[in-house]
Amino acid sequence: MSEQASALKKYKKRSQMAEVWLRFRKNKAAIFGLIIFTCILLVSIFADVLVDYETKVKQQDFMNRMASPSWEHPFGTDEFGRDILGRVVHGSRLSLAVGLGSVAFSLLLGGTLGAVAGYYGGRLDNLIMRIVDIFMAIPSTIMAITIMAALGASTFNLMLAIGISFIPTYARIMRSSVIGLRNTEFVEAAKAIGAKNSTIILTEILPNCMAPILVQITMSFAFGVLNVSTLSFIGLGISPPTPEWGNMLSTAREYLRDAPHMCFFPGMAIALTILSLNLLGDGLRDALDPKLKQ
Amino acid sequence: MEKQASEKNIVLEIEDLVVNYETDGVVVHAVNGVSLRLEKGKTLALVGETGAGKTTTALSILQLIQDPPGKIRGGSITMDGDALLTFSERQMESIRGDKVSMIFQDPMTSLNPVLTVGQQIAEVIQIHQKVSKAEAEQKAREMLELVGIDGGRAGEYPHQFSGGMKQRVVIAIALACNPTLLIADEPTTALDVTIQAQVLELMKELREKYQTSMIMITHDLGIVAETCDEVSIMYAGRIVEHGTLRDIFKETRHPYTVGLFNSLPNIKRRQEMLKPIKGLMPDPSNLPTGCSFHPRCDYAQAICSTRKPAQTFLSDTHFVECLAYESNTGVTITKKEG
Amino acid sequence: MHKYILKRLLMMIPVLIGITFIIFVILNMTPGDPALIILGSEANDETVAQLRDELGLDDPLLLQYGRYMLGLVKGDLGQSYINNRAIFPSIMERLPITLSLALLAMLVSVVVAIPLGIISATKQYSFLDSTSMVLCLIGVSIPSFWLALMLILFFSVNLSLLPSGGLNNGIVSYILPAVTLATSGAASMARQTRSSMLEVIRQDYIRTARAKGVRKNKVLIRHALKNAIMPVITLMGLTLGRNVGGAVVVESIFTLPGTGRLLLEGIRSKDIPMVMGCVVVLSILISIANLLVDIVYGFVDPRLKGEYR
Repeated sequence: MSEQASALKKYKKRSQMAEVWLRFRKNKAAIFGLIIFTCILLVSIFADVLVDYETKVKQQDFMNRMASPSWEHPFGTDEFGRDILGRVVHGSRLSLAVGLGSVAFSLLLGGTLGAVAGYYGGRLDNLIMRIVDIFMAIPSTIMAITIMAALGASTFNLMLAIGISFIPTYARIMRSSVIGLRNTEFVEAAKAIGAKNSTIILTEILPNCMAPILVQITMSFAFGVLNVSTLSFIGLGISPPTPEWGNMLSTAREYLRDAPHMCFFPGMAIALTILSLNLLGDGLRDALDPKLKQ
Repeated sequence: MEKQASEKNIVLEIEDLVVNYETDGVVVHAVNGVSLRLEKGKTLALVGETGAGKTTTALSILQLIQDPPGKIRGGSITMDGDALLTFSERQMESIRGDKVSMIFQDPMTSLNPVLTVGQQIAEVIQIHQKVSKAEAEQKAREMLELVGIDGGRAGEYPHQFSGGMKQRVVIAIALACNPTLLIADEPTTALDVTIQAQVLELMKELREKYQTSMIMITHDLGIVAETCDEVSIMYAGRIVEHGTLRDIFKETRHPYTVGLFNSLPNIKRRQEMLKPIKGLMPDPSNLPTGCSFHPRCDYAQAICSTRKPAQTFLSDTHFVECLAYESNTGVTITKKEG
Repeated sequence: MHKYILKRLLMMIPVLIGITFIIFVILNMTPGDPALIILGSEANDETVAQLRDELGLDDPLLLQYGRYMLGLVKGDLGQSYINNRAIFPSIMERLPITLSLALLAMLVSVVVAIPLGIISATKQYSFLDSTSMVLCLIGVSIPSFWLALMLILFFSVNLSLLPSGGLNNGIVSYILPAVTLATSGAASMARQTRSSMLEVIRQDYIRTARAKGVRKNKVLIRHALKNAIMPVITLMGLTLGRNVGGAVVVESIFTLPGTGRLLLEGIRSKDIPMVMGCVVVLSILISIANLLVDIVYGFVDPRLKGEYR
């Protein structure tokens, strides 16, 4: 590629990103989602700096069991007198990490399957997509419960159990993008100069189907976080004493009548995380594809 | 102004129509004082580039402009003595499809994919005529036959028809209630050339049979020459030249109209270069002062950017909006070869 | 049309085989010897081996699967490891509760969401539109189990209006669980209805209908909704699936003795045949629901119907 052409390509790419950002910035709800999500992300990354795990999260205080919110414990304390704020802060780590892990796992596997199916087409495409259809026919909650029941509770299994239900979606998005791009001039051109198939998929096709993938990532991340806490809530995910929003709620449920505050804050944390991701996803979708905007 | 004799036969009269599209403080001046009148049984062509306000003018007659952002800000539209702009939504509903019908540009998308063509034709009949469902369906089949489609296909869905056939169905819907006025918005642009001729022929035939007046919106001067009696040339929301077919084609006066003709390839003199009009349509949210055409006009003088041209009548049927035809403006058009 | 339905039915068979096979394989990965679970850890090796042979646990996986499927066709899903009861009847006994919960939630979702979506679309950017869309966003973001706890806290604990669990109050017992389960489905359906209505309203054929003089409301129902409803129908199928999955959680919170709770109890007691039976039955139900959606789709969309006439 000549220098001019690559410069042009770079320029075009930048202006495209700039345009997307410009559209995104105008969307107040999306910006709100972005800010909230960034805050949640920062809190979970710097959880150890913000709240000391040993003294604040694990420390039990039987004189102060199920205390209502106060200056000392802004979110109150739980049935062992532990600080709920500290536990909510540290609880974010596992929820987000498992959510992210499940997205990465499914993106990698589903994306590859979809790309291969779409690029090669024919019988291979048919076979892959039929299998994907079957996985799609099993509802995600049921699938996750089955896997957790069989494999037992561990962080890795949790990622697997949650991620597996996203695979079909990524495979489908990837496949349809690849089919749409397979016969475009720039792919033909790359083929003509003898580029390897894998190179074409990675360098020519992948960058051009980032828009729907990116939107799907935010959406499935939200769903992943929700599923982590759901599984933990029914006792199939992360179990106490490790703080996790879902298992905190599961315990809080026993004390619903006496200490409703125990129930309120972890739930708020989940809802806020998912809400911010949904806002972000909606905003991204509208910014990336203005045609879809209502 | 014009002959009293024809006054009685006027089907539609638009006076000084102003339509804006208003969003977030930006006002797009789509139609800026359009006046036109149409006699019974006659066909008027509205010609101009995309964005000249042709479709907006047509949609104003039916009051089908998307609101928001579209707003009719002034003028009057009179049909058979009724001031349409004072009509309620209910009253307009009884006019639409009955007295005034419209054919839209793209037949591929003009029909509802989930209703049979028979249902779609029968619907308009049932709304405006006191007939039973069975009678309406019977009439729908007759309409299909009329536009050259086997009546037995009434139970089929739009996706089972070709583009040309779909446009025939759209015409059947438009003519089902025998309207006084038919508005055709580029009815053949989306069709193949051979189909275009068939559809135009069909429209002409049916229009003559039912004595329907028609407004034909197009940018194809060939279609104008074939089907129309009078021509209005629109530019930036105004009619800049109007006359009979002969006036416009033989006595072309406005520099813009001249430009339109020069943009056409001339089959007889192939070696001649095309002379496209320089520049683009002005931004309708920021129209030039004075004559809207002056930035693109070869003959523009300083006065053209400050003074708005008025209608100058060159004959009873022919007027032009250009300072060159007004006295004492100093603007002249040096005639080139005809 | 019959051809279409028949084709859908036939297409369901490989999907069902696939689903059951996947579930079978996954649950076979469960650690621990079923024979030991049944006999207790003190049993001697001989009896364990004998039981393994009886249960066919040493046969190849495919053979075991074949045997299971043969049983499934005959309505035999084996016996519980825990109490030796036949699994199929135990599930059937509980199924009506799960089904009524999922369907009731679905009904609530549809009744609320579709009108809301239509009104929002026709009054785009109005106060009503923005309020309902904010509510919908919250609706899809709120985890159902937390919503359940909050509803119990408010309606049962604070107001003492509705029961917090159990089935002792007839239909009233279902109110909170159904509302919990319906919320996220309703929210996403309303969003979908609104956005597809907005898209359809801008189509040319809507303008054609208006140009024919069709009343505005009739345009919305006869011309717009019929086109806009298709993606909503797809979503309904998905929602029904999610509702069945969600029922597991909701039943556990509201202590409803449905299939979902049977499943969770099975997991806690490592009763693999029970878990398998519940998952298989629920998955089949969802496949049937999707089949119904496909058939409805065929009725609504003439383009599909035409292909199989």
